[in-house]
Amino acid sequence: MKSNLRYKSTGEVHKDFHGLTCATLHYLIDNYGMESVREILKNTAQKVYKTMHLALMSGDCSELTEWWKYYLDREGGVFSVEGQGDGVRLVVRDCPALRHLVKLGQMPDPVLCEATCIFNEALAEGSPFAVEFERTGDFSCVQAFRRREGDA
Amino acid sequence: MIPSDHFVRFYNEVFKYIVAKGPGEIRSYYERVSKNQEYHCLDLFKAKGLEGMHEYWEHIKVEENCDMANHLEPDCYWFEFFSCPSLSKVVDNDAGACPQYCNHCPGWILPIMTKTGHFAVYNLISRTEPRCMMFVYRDRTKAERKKAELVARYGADVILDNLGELAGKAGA
Repeated sequence: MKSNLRYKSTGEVHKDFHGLTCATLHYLIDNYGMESVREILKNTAQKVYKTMHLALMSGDCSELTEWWKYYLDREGGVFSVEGQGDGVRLVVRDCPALRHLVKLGQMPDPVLCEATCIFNEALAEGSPFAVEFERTGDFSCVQAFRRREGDA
Repeated sequence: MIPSDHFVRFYNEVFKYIVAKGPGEIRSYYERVSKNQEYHCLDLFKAKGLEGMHEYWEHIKVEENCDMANHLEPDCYWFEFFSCPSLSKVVDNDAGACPQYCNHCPGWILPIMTKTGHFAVYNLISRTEPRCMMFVYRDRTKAERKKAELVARYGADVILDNLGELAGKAGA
């Protein structure tokens, strides 16, 4: 099957980067405010993941769906991805990023969840999808891109 | 979740944002990154010195899929990246690379070398090619000699070091 992914990493996974993501988010908030996080994650969502953003704008969730499956699987997450009408829903039962923070001696820091929520909203900006995010536990969440009523 | 595999593309956007804030801003962020990295290697470098550095980058070589050489000599630890996975990903990126991207490695490594009393000379070679080298010594004179050699060959702009940060103790 042809992959839709713009970036498809292989080989070993260096999960310690989750610790640095967390430290960076706190650094940005402490020094430049929450607006800096929004701007950087918007650029990441819409410029780095340009193909995924453009696909969503055209109503296509396929790259996002494959991206969730591929990278959560690579990182050892416990999750399921379900098609939902014309949208898609991700149920994370054990988040590998939060789990790795614990391995690094840290708490499962909700700043990572907040960043995911902002990132998803930026990905969906200008698209027919509304984003939903619910943190359901220390290591779990539900994320959805649901087509707005009335959008074809 | 930003996948670990894609962290560096997010990191690249962070650099763009902070660099645009003004001169000197990025240095403070490198210090924060360095503090974070201490968890992974400071005690190891303090306890085992050059051997600890070799051990650390052997682990990184595997886990970050690095095409690199990792050398331990009696008076020097040095590595050479033939294809740095970090800049390679940042270049393969629809958002484009931050021109100062490569500075982050010496940015976090050199303060740790200073804290462990080692003299380090970092050769970025070029900020647009995914290649670089670092040489670490216990002896200042040897580090100074290596720095002079690299500056003559590659130019001062791509050579970064911590020689100004450490007291001039030679042959420790």
